[in-house]
Amino acid sequence: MYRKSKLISLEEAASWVRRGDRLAIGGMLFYNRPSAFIRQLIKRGLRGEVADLILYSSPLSSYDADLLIGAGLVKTSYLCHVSFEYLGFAPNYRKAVEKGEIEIVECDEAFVIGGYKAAIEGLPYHPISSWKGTELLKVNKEIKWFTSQDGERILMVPAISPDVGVIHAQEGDEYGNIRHLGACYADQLIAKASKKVIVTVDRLISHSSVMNDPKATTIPGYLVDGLVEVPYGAHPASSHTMYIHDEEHLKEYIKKAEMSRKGADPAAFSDYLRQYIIEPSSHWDYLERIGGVKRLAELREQD
Amino acid sequence: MDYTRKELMTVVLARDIKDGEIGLAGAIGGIPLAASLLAQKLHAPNSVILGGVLNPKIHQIYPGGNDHRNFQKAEAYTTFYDVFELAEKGLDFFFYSGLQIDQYGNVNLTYVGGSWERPLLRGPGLANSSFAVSFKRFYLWAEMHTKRNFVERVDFISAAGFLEGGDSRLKAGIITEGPRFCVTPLAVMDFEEKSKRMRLKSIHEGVSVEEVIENTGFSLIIPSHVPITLPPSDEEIRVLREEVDTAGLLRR
Repeated sequence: MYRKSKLISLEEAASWVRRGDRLAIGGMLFYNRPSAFIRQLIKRGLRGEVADLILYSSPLSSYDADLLIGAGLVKTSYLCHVSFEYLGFAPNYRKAVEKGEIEIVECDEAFVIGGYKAAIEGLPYHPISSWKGTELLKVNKEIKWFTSQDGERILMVPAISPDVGVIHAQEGDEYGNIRHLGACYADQLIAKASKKVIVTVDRLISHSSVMNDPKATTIPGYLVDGLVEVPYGAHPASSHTMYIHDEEHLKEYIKKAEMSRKGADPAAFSDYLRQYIIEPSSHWDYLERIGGVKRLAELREQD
Repeated sequence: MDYTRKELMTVVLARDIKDGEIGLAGAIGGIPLAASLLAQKLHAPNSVILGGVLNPKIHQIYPGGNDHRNFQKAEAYTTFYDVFELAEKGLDFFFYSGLQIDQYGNVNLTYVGGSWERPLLRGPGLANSSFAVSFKRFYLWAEMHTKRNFVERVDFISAAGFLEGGDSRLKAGIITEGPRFCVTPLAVMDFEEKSKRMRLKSIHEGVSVEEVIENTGFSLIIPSHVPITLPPSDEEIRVLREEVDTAGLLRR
C-alpha cells in the first residue's frame, strides 16, 4: 500500500460541487479567496451543470459571492456581509436581493461561526448570547430560544455543515497539509465543519518541508480531501504575503456589474463573464487576459 | 492649524481610549484603526488593538482593512475562533458605522426603503451585530453627515444602540453601556442621560449649529451652549501624520 496523493485538477475540484449543495468559501472579502475555483465552478454553472447553491463564507465576502450570484448559481445566501469594502457595494448581490431573486437568511458572525463550531463538535446547536435587541431576531427563522429548567433563556444557532468547503492558502503538500503564510480567518473552522474540503494553493511544497516544520502547518492534511496547485489562484483577491488584491480589476468588475444592475448596459456583466470565465481555456489563459506576467509582477506584495 | 475632518474624527476617537483597554478596530474603515493606533502611541501604550492581527505596528494604513500590508508587523494573527469568543464575552470598545444611524444610536447596514423581503436598497449586511451587545461600549462614526444617513428611526436595527430610548436597552436584557458618542465630519454627538436621545456635544471648527441641525434627519437635542470640538494638538497631528498615517489616507 502507498499513501494516496490528494492532488487534483481545478476541473475535478469544481466537479465535486453538485446542484443544491451547501458551499462554504474561505478567506475574507477579497483576501485569500479561492477565486480560480469559483470561476471554474461558474463555467459549469453556465453550462447548466450546477445550480441552486446554498452559499456560506467566513463572515465577510465579496467578489466571488457577487460573481456566483450574478451568474445565477445561488439559491440561498447565508452571507453576513457582501461588499467591495472601500470600493463600494456588491452590485449583483444588491440586485438579486432587491428583486427577490435569492433567498436571504439574515445572519452575522455569531450565527455562522457558532454554526460551524456546533458542526465541528457534533452538536445540533451552539449557544450565543449576543443577538439581543437586533432585528435579526425578527427575520431569522432558524435561530431558536431554549429555556433551561431554571427558566434561563438562551439563544441557539443551528449547526452548519457545508457539503463542500473551499479555501485558498499559500502553500500545501500533496497530502493536503496546508500552510497559511498570512491570516487564516475562518478557514480552519470551515475545513473542520465541511463534509468535503478543497484547498487551492499558490505553491505546492514538498512533503519533507512540511515534516521539517510541523508548527507551520495551519490545516493538517487529514481535514483536506482535494488539493489544487493554482498559482495566482486567488486573483483578483489577494493571497497574503504573496500578492495584493487587484484593485483595477475589481473596479472593472464593479463598473460592469453596476452598469448591468442599473440597466445602463445590460450586457456589461455578461461581457465580463464571457471575457474572464467562459472564453478562457484555462487558468493560464485567464492570467493572460488580466494582464499576464507584467500585471502579476505589479501585484507582488512588497515589504 | 491645518487638519482634515477625518484627522479630527480620528483624534476625537483616540482621546476617549484609555490605557490598558482592549478594543477591536473592525474589518473595514481606516479611521477606527488610525484612532486605535494613535491612542496607543499617545496616551495608551498598554491598550491592545485587535483586528486581522493583534497590535499591528504600521506607519501607513492601506485602505483595505485586511490588506496584508497592514499586517506585516504585528504581535499575532487573530482568527474567527478569537472573534467568536470575543463577540460572546466582550471587550472594551468597538466602532460602528452604518447606512443609517438613528436618534437612539441604532445602526443599520442591512437595507433602506421598502421591506426586508424586498428592499429598495440592500446594504452589505452587518458582519457582527454582537459587539453592540457584548462590548462594554462602542463608538459611532460616519464619513458623511446628512439627513439621509442620520434618521429618526433606522429601517432595520442591525446593531443595537439605545433601541427605543429610555431604559429599553436594559429591558432588552443588554447590560453594556452602548454607543458612547458619534463623530461625523460636522460634529460630535452624545446621548442625553435619561431619554438616550442624541445630543449635540460639540461642533467642529468652521461648522455652525444650524448646519448640523439642517443635515440631521431628526430633532437633535441642542444644549444652550455648544462648544467647538477641541482641535487636534500639534503633538496629536504630528504623531498621526508621522507615525500612523504617513501615506495620508486621512488627508484625502
